Amino acid sequence: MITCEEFFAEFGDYLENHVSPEVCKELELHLSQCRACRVLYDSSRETVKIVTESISFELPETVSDPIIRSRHGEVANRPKLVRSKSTIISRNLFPPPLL
Amino acid sequence: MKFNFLQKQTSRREMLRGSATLAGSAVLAHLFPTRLLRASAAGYPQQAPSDVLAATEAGLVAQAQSGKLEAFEELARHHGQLIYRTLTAILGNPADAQDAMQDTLLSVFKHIDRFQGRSKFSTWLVSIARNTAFQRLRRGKHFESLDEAVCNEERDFRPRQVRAWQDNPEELYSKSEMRQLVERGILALPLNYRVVVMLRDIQQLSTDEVARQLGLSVPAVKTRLLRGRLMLREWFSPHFANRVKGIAQ
Repeated sequence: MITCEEFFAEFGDYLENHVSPEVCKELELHLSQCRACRVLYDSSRETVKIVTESISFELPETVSDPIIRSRHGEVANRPKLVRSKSTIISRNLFPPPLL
Repeated sequence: MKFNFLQKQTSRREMLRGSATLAGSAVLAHLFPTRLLRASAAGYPQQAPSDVLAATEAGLVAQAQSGKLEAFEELARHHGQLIYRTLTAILGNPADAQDAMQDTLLSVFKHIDRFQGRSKFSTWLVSIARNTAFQRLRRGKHFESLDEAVCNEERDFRPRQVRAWQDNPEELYSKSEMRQLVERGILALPLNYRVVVMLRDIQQLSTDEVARQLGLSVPAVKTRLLRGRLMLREWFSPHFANRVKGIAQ
């Protein structure tokens, strides 16, 4: 049976299901006999599940875009619509950052 | 009417479900008036959805480069979530990320002529978001680098929590409580791990895609992803672990 160190070396790929069937078999055999690695694996898998299903850091709907003018000519907190690209950006109000 | 580019946010999962979610059927119909329908009716092979998606985006980018505002709005809407999560991960603060959204979109709009299609448009957007975020960090003197050479990968990192978790820990909290727990945990991660976990597990990009977006090697992304996940596991453990201790190694 592989050691805990060898198990841990494959752990990241195993969590991602990116190990060959042969390696997978070895890892599962280890898990069936090593409770510490089983605890680590189960809780890590739960961690990934919880994080991926959390739909965290959604862009708040209250964040509106002050840069772009609407199709109908009104701009949030801005006067007058001008549709040409060069005048869409109000450099005075929103100086662009240096790239 | 106040324009809000968030009105039609789409997640990557939604994006992959089909091309129609990218820009809506109206945009598709505009870009591909009847050609695809004719090809289908005539029995010719149709473009795969991903090809249509790329072609649609390329069309929108071209239109935005020629000054068409609606095309830029659509691109901003579609990629808003990716930009926001990248900014949040680098800045470590959603409020700062919301401010930085404006700077980022402004830069994108101003420099969209420079995009030449050598990389994916989303990669170019993320690079601008990264620049914007790091400029802010430099101003705040909290500068860290994502570079592989600078990053300490903490190769000897090992989990310390060895208690087994309760069954179905996600049922212990409401969805909003769980989301808050996840967000607090991710924001507590060091920058290098936070960005990778954000793009891989929250934004759900592939490992290869994360590597491309961040200019890192795939092995570096894998290493950081595992470390980040294990750190999150440590963060969650006090909330989800059984009261009876498991066997320590």
